[in-house]
Amino acid sequence: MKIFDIETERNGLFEITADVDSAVRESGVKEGTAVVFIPHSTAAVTVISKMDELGFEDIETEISRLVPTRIDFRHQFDTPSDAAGHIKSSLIGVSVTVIISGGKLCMGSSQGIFFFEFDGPRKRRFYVQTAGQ
Amino acid sequence: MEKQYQNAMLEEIKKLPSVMRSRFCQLEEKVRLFFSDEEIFDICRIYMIGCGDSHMAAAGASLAYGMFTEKTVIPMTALQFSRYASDSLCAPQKRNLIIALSQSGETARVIEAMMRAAGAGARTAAFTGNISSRLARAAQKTMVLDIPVLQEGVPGLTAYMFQLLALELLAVRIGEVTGKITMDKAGKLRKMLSEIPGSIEQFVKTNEEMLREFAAVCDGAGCAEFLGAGPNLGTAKFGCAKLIEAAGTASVYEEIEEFAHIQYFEVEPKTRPVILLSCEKSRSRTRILEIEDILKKLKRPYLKLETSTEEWLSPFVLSAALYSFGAYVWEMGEEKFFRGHEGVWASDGIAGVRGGEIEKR
Repeated sequence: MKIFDIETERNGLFEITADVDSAVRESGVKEGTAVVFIPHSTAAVTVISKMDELGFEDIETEISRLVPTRIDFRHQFDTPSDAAGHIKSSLIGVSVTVIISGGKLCMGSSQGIFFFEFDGPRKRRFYVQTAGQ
Repeated sequence: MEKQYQNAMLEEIKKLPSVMRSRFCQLEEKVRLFFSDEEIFDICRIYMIGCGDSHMAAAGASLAYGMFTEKTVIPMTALQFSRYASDSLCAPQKRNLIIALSQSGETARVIEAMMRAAGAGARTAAFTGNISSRLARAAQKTMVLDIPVLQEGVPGLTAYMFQLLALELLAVRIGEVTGKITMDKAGKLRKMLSEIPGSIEQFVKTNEEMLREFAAVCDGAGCAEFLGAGPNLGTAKFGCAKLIEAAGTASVYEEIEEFAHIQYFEVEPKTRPVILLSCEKSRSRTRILEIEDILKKLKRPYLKLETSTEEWLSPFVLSAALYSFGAYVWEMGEEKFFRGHEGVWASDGIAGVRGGEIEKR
């Protein structure tokens, strides 16, 4: 398994495709799967189009529209941003699985793997585990 | 003459760090959950009201609010708030939060201030050790500060330190909830606060010899002046109070800038010992050094008590050192703490602190 540390200087999307790709190459797996997992409850990982940066803003805006940061969440031990982040994280998810074939990630040309921060800036990390042969 | 409370102040300060350590997590959680997110967002202005040590704790904590929150925070004496400020709160009044501090919960002027604040329509909260006190009953919310009595009958220290700690934790909490600081940053600040007991132990030990020597100077002169700036103006007042309470020594406190306007002109400077509170990271650092030069030129006996800790944390260590200073001066004389609460200092009402008339609006 490969561990990556990331410092998110803001809320939003951070592309990690290259990191995942390097982990796959290092693993030597030619045919199998790669799982990207994040050990956080106010962040997520997702696969989206990387073609237009304005698309990132659309996703961030729509997620925040769906789950606005409010001050009346029942979870008040941390912060409103944290409480909203838990919900966003559960909606998007904390892992993605990508097929490996020919030693490469099987992804469309417009797709990218993104770390999604909902309570930044924070020091974060993500794991990449490969399986196969 | 045998002293009534041999080394009791030094015992108090010796026990304090372990008590602060053992109760930190409990206090942190209590502060964290005291105000709802909604309340925190609704508050625009905070008045921190107290008398004596409680007021000094509020003054000491105020810098943390400036650094970590976007709320306007005003430490104020209970009398000043009650009689001069409570009827001119910014509208809407409910967006003013009045935090009244009194460990006994029975300080007359603080209760009066709380009543007037509530009457004006402000939000009110009491920080007290006594849930059944008049102050607690007058407040909309009460945080019970569960503070042990480490030594009976000594000038106060532990309650002051816990009030200071609670207020600084609240500043961190408000900053975190409102997004002025991140959760990671808040976590780091809380860790710094949790490490304060160790800093107190180290600072008091490191400065013991110097403080003892200067205690002899003040004992000989029969007076002392304490100078501070920012959060340490409250510390200066605390040091002044402890010296008077312990040894009865005539003492005054002043802001460093005001000193240059007032006490600077005293006619016999060589007989007026000064304790200059300093912090290497103080926003007033340049002025502290200028005042030190002035003290040298005046040939004033002075002690620069300096800490390398962050300025917002410096009241903890400087106050602890000044408390031990009061204990050292006391050891050199024959006085009882608080003059034994005898004669004109009899404790029945302590000059009306508890028994004074409460003027409702």
